[in-house]
Amino acid sequence: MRFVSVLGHRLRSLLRRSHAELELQRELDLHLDQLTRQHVAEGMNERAAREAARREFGPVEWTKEQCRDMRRVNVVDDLVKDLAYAVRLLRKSPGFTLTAVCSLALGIGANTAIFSIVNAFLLRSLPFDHPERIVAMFERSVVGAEQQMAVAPGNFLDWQASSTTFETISAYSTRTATLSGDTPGFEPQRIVICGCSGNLFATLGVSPVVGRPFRSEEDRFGAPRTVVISYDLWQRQYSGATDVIGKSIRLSEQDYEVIGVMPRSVMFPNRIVEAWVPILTGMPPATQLRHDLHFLGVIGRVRDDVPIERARAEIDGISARYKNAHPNESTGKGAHVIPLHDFLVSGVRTPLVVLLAAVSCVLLIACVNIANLMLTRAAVRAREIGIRTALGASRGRIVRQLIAESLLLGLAGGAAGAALAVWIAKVLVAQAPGADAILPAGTVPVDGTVFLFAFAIALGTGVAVGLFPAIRGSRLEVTTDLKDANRSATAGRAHGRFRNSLVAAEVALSLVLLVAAGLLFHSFSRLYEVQPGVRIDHMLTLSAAVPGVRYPRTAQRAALFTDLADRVRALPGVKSAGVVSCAPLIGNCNTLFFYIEGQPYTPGSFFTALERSADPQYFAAAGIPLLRGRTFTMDDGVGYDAQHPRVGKIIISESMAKTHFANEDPIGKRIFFDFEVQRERNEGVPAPRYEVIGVVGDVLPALDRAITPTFYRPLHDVAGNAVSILVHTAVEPESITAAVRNEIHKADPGLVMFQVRSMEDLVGRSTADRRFTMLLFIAFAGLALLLATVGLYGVVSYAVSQRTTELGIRMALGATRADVSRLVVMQGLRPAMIGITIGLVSAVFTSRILRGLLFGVTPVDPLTFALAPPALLAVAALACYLPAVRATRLDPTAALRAE
Amino acid sequence: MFEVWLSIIEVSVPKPSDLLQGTLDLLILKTIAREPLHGWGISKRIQGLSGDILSVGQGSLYPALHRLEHQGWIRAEWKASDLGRDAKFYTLTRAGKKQLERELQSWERLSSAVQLLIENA
Repeated sequence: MRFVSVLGHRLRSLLRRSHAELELQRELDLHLDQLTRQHVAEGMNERAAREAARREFGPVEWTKEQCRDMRRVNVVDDLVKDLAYAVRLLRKSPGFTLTAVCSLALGIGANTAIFSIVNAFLLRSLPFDHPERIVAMFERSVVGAEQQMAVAPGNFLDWQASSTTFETISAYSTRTATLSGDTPGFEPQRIVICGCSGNLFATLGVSPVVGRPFRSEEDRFGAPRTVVISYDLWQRQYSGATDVIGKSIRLSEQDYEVIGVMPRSVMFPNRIVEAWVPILTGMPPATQLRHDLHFLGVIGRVRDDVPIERARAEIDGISARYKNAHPNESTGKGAHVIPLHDFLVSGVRTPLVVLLAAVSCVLLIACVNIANLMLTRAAVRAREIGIRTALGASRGRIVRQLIAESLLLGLAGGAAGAALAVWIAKVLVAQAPGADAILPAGTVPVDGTVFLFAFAIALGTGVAVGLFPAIRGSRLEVTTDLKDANRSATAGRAHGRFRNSLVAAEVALSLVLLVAAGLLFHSFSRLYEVQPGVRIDHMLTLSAAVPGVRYPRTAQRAALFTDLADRVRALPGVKSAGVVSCAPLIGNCNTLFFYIEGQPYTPGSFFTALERSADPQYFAAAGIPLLRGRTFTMDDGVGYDAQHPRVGKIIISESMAKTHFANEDPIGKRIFFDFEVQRERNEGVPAPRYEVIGVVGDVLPALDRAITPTFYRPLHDVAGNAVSILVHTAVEPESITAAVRNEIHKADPGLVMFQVRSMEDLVGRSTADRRFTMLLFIAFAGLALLLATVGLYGVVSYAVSQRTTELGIRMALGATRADVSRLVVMQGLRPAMIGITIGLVSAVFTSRILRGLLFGVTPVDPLTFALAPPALLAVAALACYLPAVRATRLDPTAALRAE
Repeated sequence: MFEVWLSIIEVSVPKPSDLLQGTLDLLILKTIAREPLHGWGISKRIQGLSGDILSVGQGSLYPALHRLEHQGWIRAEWKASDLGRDAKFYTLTRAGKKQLERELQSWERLSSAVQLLIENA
């Protein structure tokens, strides 16, 4: 009851303000009139009575204000009034307003955009049912102490069969396949498909948008081929028609029946997968039992009542028991699980967190800058504030007024920033390499959370920016202010000190960002100094894939690829061409385990190296030098028969020679492979030996990765369904693309050509991540530098305008222009120097978090640390010099008269 | 810094008036308990009933009235008055009556305590 009447009263005071004002006026008038009447009755004349009544009553306006204050809704009331007043004031100084709003918009926009990416990757949960129960599973300690090794099918099936802590466990493995159609004009295309367990849908907790998930009997070797296609493929190839179910599509020359369409939001294991097929359908039972072929990704859904730790312990135990029973097998000593989300974002977490930290620094600098400007304004407005205080405004009231102003700036900056953020986020998503793990292509990750974030920081910065200056501004003593506001020579010393420390803070933050950008830039340039071991200029690379069904045998495929390379070599403008199983600098080569003949043999303690297969011309075409022995001939590997193996031929890289044959001649040495030893035991196929016939130069797996021992096998020994062709051209590499495409089509129209790029382009792509992070940092550092410069300039200019009289006196007493400009510059440089010192110390500590992003430089890179401070100092000096020049142009007499 | 926060918060807390605040509330509530009165009437009655000892300044009275109304203890309405024109009459609400009782109790406690102190000190 009371609540209702209170609410009614409050609403009335708020909404019918003019009415309430009128009532207040009438109520007090009545009282005044009564007092007057009383005095008249006592014998005064009308006029004297009214005078007396007024005296007796006291200050009417003050009483009114007190009454208004009693209505608490005044807070809202005042806010509206404050905001209106702030709008008027801000419109009066458009320069200040524009500077403040623009720097806030940049700061908030950049922050919101980066946050939107962080939100999409790290905060938003995966689009699966109870995603927190899903874990990624690995074998551990297969080689050394490796924690995350791909899983062998035998281990996966063991886990599936004997685990009790998981609801379901699914395996997956992606590969490329050729999608072709019967309709004329349907160009065969290369797509990524995912072989997955039939229960993948159950593990993820999703269902197809159309059709049904796989049945368990469909995930068996030799079962009829079924496929679930991606939403994208469904839209692109079938215009989203529901009658796609039951139709058949052709993947690598084999027909699959479409049974379902994956929801658009499900992009597992990544967004480029366009079809899912049961994984065991094409996996022979002998392979399913192998515990040494590590090629599966595995995820599992942990039961609701089981802590993840217990699930981990259980599968660790299962694997450990197997290893103990089969110590000779190259399998994990145990197993490991991590939450799926952590696994998916593991590569982007550090860069994102670092970026967010950097961009917050930019916003902080923008805030400090505006706080400084506000402080200047507060000082200029000291007189106004003094008057208001004298008229009875409380300190809180003044603070609120000043904060309303900065709040308005914050909100305006926030609105502009949010609009800017949508645009920046769009650019970021389009440019960010590796964004494909989680973000659907072409979407902007800006949602409600992101806007809420923008609003919150706008509000936060609004208050933060205004609070300090407001408190300082309102602390002014009434009397001194009224007397003193235009006596500039004595403007508060404490004031100046505070503003100087703000500038120092700005400079320090800028230096930290500058150092970070410098470190990344230096890393990036280091990357281009690296010798990759292959020729980069005048090189065209392309990949080609054959339909495996029509070329079932290795020899057939090798012959086709040889024919292809010969055709390309015959083209005009081509110097040489070579074929390799996985391209240098980008290829994901197989890692094979091997033993060396003649060294003590302990099963399970093998060496590892990357495997590539190549044709005889590859080394010359790629510019890889032959260091010893010979390269392949056309006869190497021809006529190989697994059942009756003869000694194979291999060429090893320099690093492999140094690692394993340090003080001996590697030529003629023999090695053998662990997987063939295992096969010998399981299937009785004898394990062949391989003889080293040559040593070639090292090639980096990627520009930013260390040299890894590698061996090459003849193309005739191992030719998969897809190869890369490296073409050394005499002309611009891209100019022969069409001719090459034409030759490939002539060799076999069913061949698919993809990833046609110049080597330079390829190198550029392999460094795209780093370039992107570096460019962002340079942008942030540049922005920070700009803001800090503006801030410093503002402070020094203000100081000059405040010291006009003093400077005038100095000049009148004989100070030269050089003296005056030195005085002004030094005054500005002092806080800058302090800032640089603080910044240097902070940079030493903070640059450590960049460690994971650096290449070839340490976090305390001497070059960067030597260059950044002088660069910043130079910019700071410039910012101080301009006002100093203005100060020297002062006419002493005019300056003295100005008072 | 801290004091500024206090002063911001303070806005929502009624300010103390010349008289002990509770006492002024008590006087007003008690005065209008018998019949609805306007501001002028209240100030006259307080003065009259206290034998001209207590006089409440307008600067305290009206803010107090507005505060009490704001808190829901009293209700205001405009009606014809003995002064020859409409005046704003304040009436005790039901919640106000309870409040009055609480105020009376605490006043009695306070005054008897003071009395005790004076007698025994």
